Amino acid sequence: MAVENTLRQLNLLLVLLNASVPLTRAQIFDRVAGYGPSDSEAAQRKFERDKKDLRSLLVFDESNPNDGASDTYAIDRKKSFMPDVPLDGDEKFLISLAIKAWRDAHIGQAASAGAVLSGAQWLRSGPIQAALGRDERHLAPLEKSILENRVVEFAYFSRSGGDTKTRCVEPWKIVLHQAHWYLFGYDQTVDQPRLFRFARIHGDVQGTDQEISVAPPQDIDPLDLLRGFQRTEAHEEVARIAVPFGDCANLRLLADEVVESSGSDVLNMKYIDGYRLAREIALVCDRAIVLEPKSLTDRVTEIMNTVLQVHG
Amino acid sequence: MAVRFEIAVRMLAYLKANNYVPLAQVAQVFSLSEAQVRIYCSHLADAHIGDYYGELVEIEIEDDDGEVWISTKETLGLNQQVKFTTEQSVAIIGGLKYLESLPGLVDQKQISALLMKLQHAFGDQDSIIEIGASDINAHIVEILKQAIDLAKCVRIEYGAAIDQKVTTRVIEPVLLQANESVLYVRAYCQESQGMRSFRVDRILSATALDISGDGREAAGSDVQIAAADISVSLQMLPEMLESFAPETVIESRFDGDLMLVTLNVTSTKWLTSLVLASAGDIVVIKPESVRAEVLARANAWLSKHPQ
Repeated sequence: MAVENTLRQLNLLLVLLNASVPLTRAQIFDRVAGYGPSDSEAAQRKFERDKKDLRSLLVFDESNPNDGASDTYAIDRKKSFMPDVPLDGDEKFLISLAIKAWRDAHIGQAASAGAVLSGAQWLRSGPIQAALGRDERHLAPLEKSILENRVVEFAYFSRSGGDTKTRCVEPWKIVLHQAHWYLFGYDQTVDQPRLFRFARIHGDVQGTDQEISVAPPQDIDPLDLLRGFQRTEAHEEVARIAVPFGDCANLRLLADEVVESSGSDVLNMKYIDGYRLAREIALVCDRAIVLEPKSLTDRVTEIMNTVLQVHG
Repeated sequence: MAVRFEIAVRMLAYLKANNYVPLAQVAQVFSLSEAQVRIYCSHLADAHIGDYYGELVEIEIEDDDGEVWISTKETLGLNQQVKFTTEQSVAIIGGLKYLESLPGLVDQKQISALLMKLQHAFGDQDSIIEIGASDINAHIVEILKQAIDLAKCVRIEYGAAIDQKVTTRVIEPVLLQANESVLYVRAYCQESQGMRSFRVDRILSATALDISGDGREAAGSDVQIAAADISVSLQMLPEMLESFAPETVIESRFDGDLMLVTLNVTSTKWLTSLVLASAGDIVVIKPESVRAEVLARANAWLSKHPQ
């Protein structure tokens, strides 16, 4: 049954593509095998279903003249087909790598598209693999809501408030920044654009029937906002930290300069995100000694006091 | 077998663009069996306009020296690719932006040009996925890529996440694996005598060596990692759960706004470091020995940095 339907739809598509003028329903029933008598209810039903299926893939023009003439049907070639995109072998390989990276529902959506664009390069494997969106269950429902312009609801833990509340958000973009996923959207609760970290969403994201009413701002880049959150110092600072030889690799990776001193190395590093640096120092707090600045020492001390406090 | 209209149309365009293509390739590209591809081809070949113009699609499947090939002579009126759905465009552009965010992994200029080309072909819509550049040292990635291409060794200074100690190793890289924003190099490690994955952002320095790798052929198995057999109970903010590999988590449940998590770890040194750096977002409930280790290390800081 499915085969018959698909063959009839293929015939319909090819008939419409090869017609020099839009065709009436009677002309279509005459040329396309599989509809049966044009005046039958079954033929009308099949045609309505076929139109729906064709519309899922192509732009289907349907004229409904008021002068009593018959409706006509055509495929809008310009809107239905892509312009020729010349791609070389390397570009085709990049496309296949990009699509195969997806580890969530995207891959099902994109696989056929990627295969068509990539050709034989789709099958090539190389010394590079990439994985994106693994275990991110919020990706697919958020993407769907963004594409449908629908408001979403979810329970969200606020670090500043320390509690979990339901948020109604007009979703605009999905952002990946330093291994964390975020939703960028308009928070109806506070009437402001906001970023929501996926890991702080409790339970599932629920789609609603409410359409979004606020357009994404053109002058705000969510990645700039995220980078801005890292700026805890008023201006660039320089830290000097003493660490044992062959130790504190995490701090060495941040150092601009390593100076050998008596019994230890002294790391010199510029920083703008004192909070992040303090956390890195906390990882090796029993071996690293902050020589300067004092503000950085104080940040780490504050972390240590908090840790001692929560551990009673 | 259900023959899907979308796949049939895309396959026809694919066959037109790739004339005389192995049947096995089409099957792999469309995730179908060869028998299913034959059914699709048969139905495509059956497409016609009533009795007016004869067949619109000419497809032949022929056996040539044991390999089956599909040749496509005619796909009347369907010579261009049907536009992708919005979801497909999002996936392609999002995937390419992801590759673009990994410095040195692929040619950045090439991928930027490709993105522009495809975004134009897809109708210049705003991408709904944005990906920030990863903190990856492109110079180190380049050294690793060259070593893979030439099958040569690389000497690296590596900082182990477990204790932050720096070790020098000679590795034979075979694969670069990106997982979200983190890049790993899979390599034969001469010191460990087995295959290991190293985080590229933990490589302090890399030096290309003019030594051919010979361990890979012998490298049948991964380096044995110590068993994660230390059971700990933690209370944490839900987002901190991201810090632990899912397979190590035995149990997790909400306790108000916080989570109670039981997991098995390999090293208490690593765990206590994480607890200290969490600044109170992770609290050790038990065992007492791990709590004591956290307190001792925090006090060590305070004793060296008196107020």
